[in-house]
Amino acid sequence: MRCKAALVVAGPLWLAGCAGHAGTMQDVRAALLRNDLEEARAILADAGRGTDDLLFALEDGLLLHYAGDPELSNSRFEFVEQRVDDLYTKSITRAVVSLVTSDLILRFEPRGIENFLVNYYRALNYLELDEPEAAWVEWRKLATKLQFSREQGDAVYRAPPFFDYLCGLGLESDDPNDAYISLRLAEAGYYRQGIAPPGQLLGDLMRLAQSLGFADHIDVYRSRYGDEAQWPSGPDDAGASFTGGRADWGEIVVLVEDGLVAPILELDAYIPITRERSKVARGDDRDLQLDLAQALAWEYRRGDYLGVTESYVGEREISYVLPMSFPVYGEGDPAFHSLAAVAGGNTAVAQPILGISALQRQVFEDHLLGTFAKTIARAMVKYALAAALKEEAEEEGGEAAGEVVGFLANVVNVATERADTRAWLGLPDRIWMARLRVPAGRHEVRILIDGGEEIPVGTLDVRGGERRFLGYRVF
Amino acid sequence: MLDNALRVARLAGFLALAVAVASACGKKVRRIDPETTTDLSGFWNDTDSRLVAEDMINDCLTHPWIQQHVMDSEAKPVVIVGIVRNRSMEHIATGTFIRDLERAYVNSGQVRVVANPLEREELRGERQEQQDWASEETRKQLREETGADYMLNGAIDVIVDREGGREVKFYQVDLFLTNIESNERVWIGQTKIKKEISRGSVGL
Repeated sequence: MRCKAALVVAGPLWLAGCAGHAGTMQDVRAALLRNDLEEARAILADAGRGTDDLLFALEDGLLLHYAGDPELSNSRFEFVEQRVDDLYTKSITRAVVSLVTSDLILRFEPRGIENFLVNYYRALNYLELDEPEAAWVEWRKLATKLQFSREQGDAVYRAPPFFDYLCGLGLESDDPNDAYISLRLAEAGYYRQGIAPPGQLLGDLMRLAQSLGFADHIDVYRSRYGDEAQWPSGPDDAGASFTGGRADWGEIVVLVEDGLVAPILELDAYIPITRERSKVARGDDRDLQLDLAQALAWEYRRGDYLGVTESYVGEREISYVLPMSFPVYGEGDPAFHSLAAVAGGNTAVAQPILGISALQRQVFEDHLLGTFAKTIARAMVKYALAAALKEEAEEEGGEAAGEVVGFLANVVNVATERADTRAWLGLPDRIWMARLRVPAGRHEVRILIDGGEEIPVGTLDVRGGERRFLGYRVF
Repeated sequence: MLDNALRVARLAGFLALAVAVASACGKKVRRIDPETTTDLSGFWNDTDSRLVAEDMINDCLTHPWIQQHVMDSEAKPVVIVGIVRNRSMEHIATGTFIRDLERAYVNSGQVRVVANPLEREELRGERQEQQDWASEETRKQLREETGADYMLNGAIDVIVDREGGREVKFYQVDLFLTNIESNERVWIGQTKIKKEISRGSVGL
């Protein structure tokens, strides 16, 4: 008994170190909203790596990217990729302990599109360092991740077309055929979703199909999207390069990151267990218990237990009420509604091309039933363990001892039941893209937010036939 | 008392087992023979690249164009391996496939292979540099390249059919050997690979 009790009591101590990320990031996000990157980094550094150095590396890598230290930012992201690779073989010990404490015991693993964004930021960092070949490696890594992820299912977050589109744009200077494959995959992604692909993407596809000699593909795209004269990058631009055949022109791809990604919040809830169901919960049949956890999860998701409180015990055949802590997906915080980019006398209207909060919400919701079921199953295990401890204490020390141990076990159960709210919280809510064709030379790039004044976001030297990328964050 | 001792022993045994299993699950790296056939994901892989290259070059070298060339010019034919286009929707490392083709040609001893257009530029740059910087005895001459008689190029295409957890991938590799002077096709090769991939369903 002492050993079991020690295991249960040790839980909250272990968890104390895990639960702080959301709290720290609340302050970091507040500093970011004040455009105070230095303060944001200081808050993160003060909080330290905690028990999850992967999460720290993701957040710090991103802040370093914005702070203009691409080298250190990339070393943080390199660490992330190595750690994700290591985590592929999960820690059985932590997984076992998580069954009686909380998911917070498990090491954080990037979810949904977070893994893709690591390579996106690494590529931009290498471009900032003027290492285009290293950036190609990142685009290729991203393309490979997308290829394997696509095989795992049809959900949009498995391979958002934006990333394929970006790989296509990034890889064209390395291997036009590879770039073409990425652009085809991007087009197929939009087509599957029933969304019209960006006109410039179609223009790139036709141009590359033509230069690679894939006439049959051109026919397919024409039959699908009609006359290319309607596309922004239409026949006038169908030269051998993306500059519309003008050798002394180049292109600037402006990527503006907007606002703050939605956080994951914690919601307290109570699940009533009827007398009939409590027999299953306290029994030995694991399959029946899992079925019960899934049934309760469905009922909770359906809204059956809205308004249930602890006072339900004793009412309507209720044997006891399980206190729960469920994660809920919050709201993203966009910074603006419209955007245009200006350079070299040209203006391009930007489009929101990646909804990070929206996609991460889908990831979250697709796993929600599983999360509910696991949380409920865990609460039932804890309840059964507390009841057994109480019973054993009663046998050894009488009714009073049983009451004390039962009370303590329940306190520990409530304290250990924390929702897993960890996420990469420094990310933007959305990414916007504008493509500007410019004559060769030095160009100051400016953006117009919601039709306001022009804001300078960087200066780039563009050679003829060259495509440059420029990232900027608006909090 | 005995019950408690047994419980503690059971719990200790369980924890020891958990730790042992966890430590046994760490990352391991094992070197394997590059000739080994490995099929993990169903995508085009190193085995496909090597086997298709060897298969097609063997086929190419058993066709009469090679004897005809030797009879006509009393020399081994010189081949340049050009571009193999990827027409599929899968990222395929065509570069390694092209090198596998070159290797299979060179190792056959029946044809000579010259550098492809991409490498050629780098070699020409080096030769140009030597004109200014290398000693006269070691300097390589300009305009002494071996002109190729034939160019090999082609395409890889993939057809995918999927139903539920079952997927069939059909790769078709077409290669063409063309006489550079006359544009005449002297050999056309085709290899097909069909792969069936089954995926188990994942529960909660």
